[in-house]
Amino acid sequence: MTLLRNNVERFYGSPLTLVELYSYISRNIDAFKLPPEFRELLEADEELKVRVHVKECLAKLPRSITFISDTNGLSDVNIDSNIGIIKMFHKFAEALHFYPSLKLTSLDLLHFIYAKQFTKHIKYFATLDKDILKKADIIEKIIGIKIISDIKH
Amino acid sequence: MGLATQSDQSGKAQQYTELIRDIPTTTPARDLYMYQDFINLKKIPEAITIYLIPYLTYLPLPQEKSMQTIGNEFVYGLFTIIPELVNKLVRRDVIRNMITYNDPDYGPVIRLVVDLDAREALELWLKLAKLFPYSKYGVVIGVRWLGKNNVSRDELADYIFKIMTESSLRTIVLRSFDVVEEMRRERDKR
Repeated sequence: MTLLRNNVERFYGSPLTLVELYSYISRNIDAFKLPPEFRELLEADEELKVRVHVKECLAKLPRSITFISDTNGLSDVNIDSNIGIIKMFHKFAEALHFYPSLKLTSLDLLHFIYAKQFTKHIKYFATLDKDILKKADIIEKIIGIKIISDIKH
Repeated sequence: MGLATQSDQSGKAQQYTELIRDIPTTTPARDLYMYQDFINLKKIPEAITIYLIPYLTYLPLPQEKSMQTIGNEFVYGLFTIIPELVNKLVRRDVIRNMITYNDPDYGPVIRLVVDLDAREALELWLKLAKLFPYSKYGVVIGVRWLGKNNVSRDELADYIFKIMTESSLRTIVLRSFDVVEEMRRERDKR
């Protein structure tokens, strides 16, 4: 509702949003019952069943969603001379710089790293997570995205 | 299934005079198929709305009929119309079997078994979903094919989602979800 009040025209999701959605639906698949005929057709194909549920979830959003694509790139990360230089996916490497100031969990921070790529378009980060809400001010200051939620913190 | 009032129906009947021509207004659902040649295929759903539903609504002593009986008659009407309609849509005789059954959560279901390959069968299913949406008629239609499986898994997922969307069929969630609580539980797992 807060999103709609703020005249949000489009949703953006990171690839991690998809990964988490697939993970959640796969682990809770027994709670979802497809209509007859569709159910039997997909009975033996758990992956397709999950995919159809994911599509349904995304279709229920009140605005269309654009998924941010991953981009190629590995960064050289040198943490310790004993470990030496390691190759790391550039988004993970970028996240290393923000952990000390934002102190977020890995997945949460990675969502912000993806959003940071599109700060020209992405104005708000919607969440129901109280830990993120508590850090709303510092996230806005460092990442440049306003945190909004339907729950109060 | 929403039942329109008699005045609504007479208004609609006026609009479709070209459709009704020789069909007596008291045609029982089970006999409607006899008149299908007079019906413009694109307007079959409207024909059903105009003829089947008023008929079912204004049967003598309708209060003596349970909704189950009315639903069954309606399914029977569809069951008799669909074969000829399918033959006209695909321009050949492809139906090899038809069954009906009742799903405890979704109600009546009609399944067609067709002698088509997967792509043609899914296209047919999509057309039937558009003609007879579940949201309007309360009947789930399914199609099974006997031909080769010539669609990829991605295409199959897309077709299934499109057919469900066109029919306004939705997944039932078997337990209640408190989104905030679910989020909290998920986050605690990390």
